[in-house]
Amino acid sequence: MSGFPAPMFYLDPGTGSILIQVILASALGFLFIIRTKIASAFKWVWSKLFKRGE
Amino acid sequence: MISSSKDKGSFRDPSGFIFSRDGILYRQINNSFKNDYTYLMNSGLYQDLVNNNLIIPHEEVEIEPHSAESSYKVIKPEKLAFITYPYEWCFSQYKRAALATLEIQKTALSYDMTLKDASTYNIQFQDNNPLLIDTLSFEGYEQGRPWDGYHQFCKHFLAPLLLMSYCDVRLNSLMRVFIDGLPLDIASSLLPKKTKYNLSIAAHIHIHAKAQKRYTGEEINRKAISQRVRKEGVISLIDSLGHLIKKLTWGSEETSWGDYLSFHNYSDSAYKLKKALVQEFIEHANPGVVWDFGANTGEFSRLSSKKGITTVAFDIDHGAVEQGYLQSIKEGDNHIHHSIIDLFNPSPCLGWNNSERKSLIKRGPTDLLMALALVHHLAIGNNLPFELIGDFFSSLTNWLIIEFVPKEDSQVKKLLSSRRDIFENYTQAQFEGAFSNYFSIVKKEPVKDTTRTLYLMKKLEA
Repeated sequence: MSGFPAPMFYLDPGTGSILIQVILASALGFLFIIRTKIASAFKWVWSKLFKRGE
Repeated sequence: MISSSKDKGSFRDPSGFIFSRDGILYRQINNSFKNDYTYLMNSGLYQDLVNNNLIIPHEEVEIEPHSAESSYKVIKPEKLAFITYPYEWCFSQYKRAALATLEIQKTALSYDMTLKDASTYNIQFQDNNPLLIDTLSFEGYEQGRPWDGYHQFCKHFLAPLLLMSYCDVRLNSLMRVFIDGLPLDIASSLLPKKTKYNLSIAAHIHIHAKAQKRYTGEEINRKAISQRVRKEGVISLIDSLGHLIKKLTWGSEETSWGDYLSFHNYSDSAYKLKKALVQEFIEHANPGVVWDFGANTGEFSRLSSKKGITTVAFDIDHGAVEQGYLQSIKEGDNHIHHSIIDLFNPSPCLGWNNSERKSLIKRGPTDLLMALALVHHLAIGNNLPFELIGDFFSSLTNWLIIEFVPKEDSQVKKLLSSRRDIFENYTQAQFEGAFSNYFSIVKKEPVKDTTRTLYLMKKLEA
C-alpha cells in the first residue's frame, strides 16, 4: 500500500466523493431552506409592521 | 464517398463526436442523445445559454453524417478563433471559466437538466468570454441524484485555482501532467495549512480528499444515495463553490514582466516609430491570423487585432498575460486571444494516443508571426542557435516580423551581466545568414534612436 488513494477513472468520483457531496448538499440545502424560511418570516413581519405604519 | 475525419480527442462521450469535412468542424449527435438534445433545444435552455453568452451557438445542417448508422443530427458549431487549454490560461481566464461552468450548471438545473461533466476542456474562449463548447454535455436532471460533475469540477477547476491563488500562480501547469484534473490529495497536501480553517476549502478539498482515500474500493448503494440529494442542495453546493471561487484573488504586478511597459528601454519617439514600422509590415503581409510570441501584455498584438485580424498574444509570464487579458476585456478587443506559452517547452500533444490535446505547433500554422524583442532571450538567455530559431519559426508561419537586438543594446548587456559571454556568433550578420536558410528578407528597417533592427521576412518556397 502506497498510502495514495486508488487512481480514479474518468467521471468516476468514487464512493468518498459521492458521500461528501451528499453530506454537503444536504447540509447546504438545509441551510438554504432555513434561510428562506427566516427570510419569508421577516418579510411577513415587515409587511405587518409596514401596514400598521400606514 | 464523402471524406471526413473524426477528431482524435472526441471519443469519450457516446452521445456524439466532432468531425471535420472540407476544413469545417461539425458535431455528430448520435441517436442515444436524441431525447436530451431535443429537450435541450425545445426547453429554452440552449437559447437561454446562447443569450447569456455561455454556450457556443450552432446551426443544424443537412449533410451526410460521419457515421450514418448511429447519427441523429449533425450540427455546425460557430468556429473558434483559437483553441487554448487550462495550462495556458492566466488566473482570470481560469476563474472566469470556472464561474461560467457553475453558471451553466445552475441554469441547466432551472430547466431540469444537468451537466454530465465539468471538464476544463469543455470551455474555450471566444471574444475573450468563456463558452461551453460541448453541446452534448447535458442530460435530464433526476430528482435526488447527486451532480456527477462535482468531483471533476473540484479536480479541474477548484483545486488548480486554489493552488494558483494560495501557493503559486504557475501551478496551473500541473494540469498538463494531470490531464483529467489535479488529484485532490495532491492539492490538499500542497495548499497551506491555513486553508484547513476555511470551511469551504476544507469541505471541497481537504475532507473531500480524505473521504476519497478512506472509502477507496468500497462499494456504494447508488440507488439509496440517489434519493438523498435535493435540487436545492445541489444549487446550494454550486453557490458555495461560486462564492469560494469569486473570492479568490491573485496580484499580477508581482511577476517580472507584468510591468514591462514601464521599463523597456525605448524613448517615446523610438517606441512610436517601432509601432509604425510594425503596423506597416503587418499591412504588407496582409495576414488572416497573427501569432505574437513574447507579446507581454499584447501592446503590439493590438496593432493587428484592432484591424479585425485574429491575433494570439503568447507570453511566458502570468502577470503579463493576466494584465493583457483584463485590458482586452476592458477595451472590448474581441480579436485578440491571450495565452501562456513557454517557447522552450511549448505545450505538447497530450492524452490518449498523444492526440487528445493538440500541441502548440499542431494548432498552427499562422499567416504572420511576430517576435519582437525576443531573439536575444532565445539566443542569449537560453543558448538557442539562430539556425534553430529560424527553423522553428519557419514551421509555424509564412510571414515573420522579427526584431534583432544587438549586444550593444542595454537589455542584452543586462542579460550578459551575470554570465560569461560565450555567444561569439551573436551578430547581425550571423542572424541574417541563419534566417536566410528559411526566409527571404522583404524589408529591413533600423529603429531610429536605438541599435535595433526590424525585419519583415517571407518564408522561402519549399
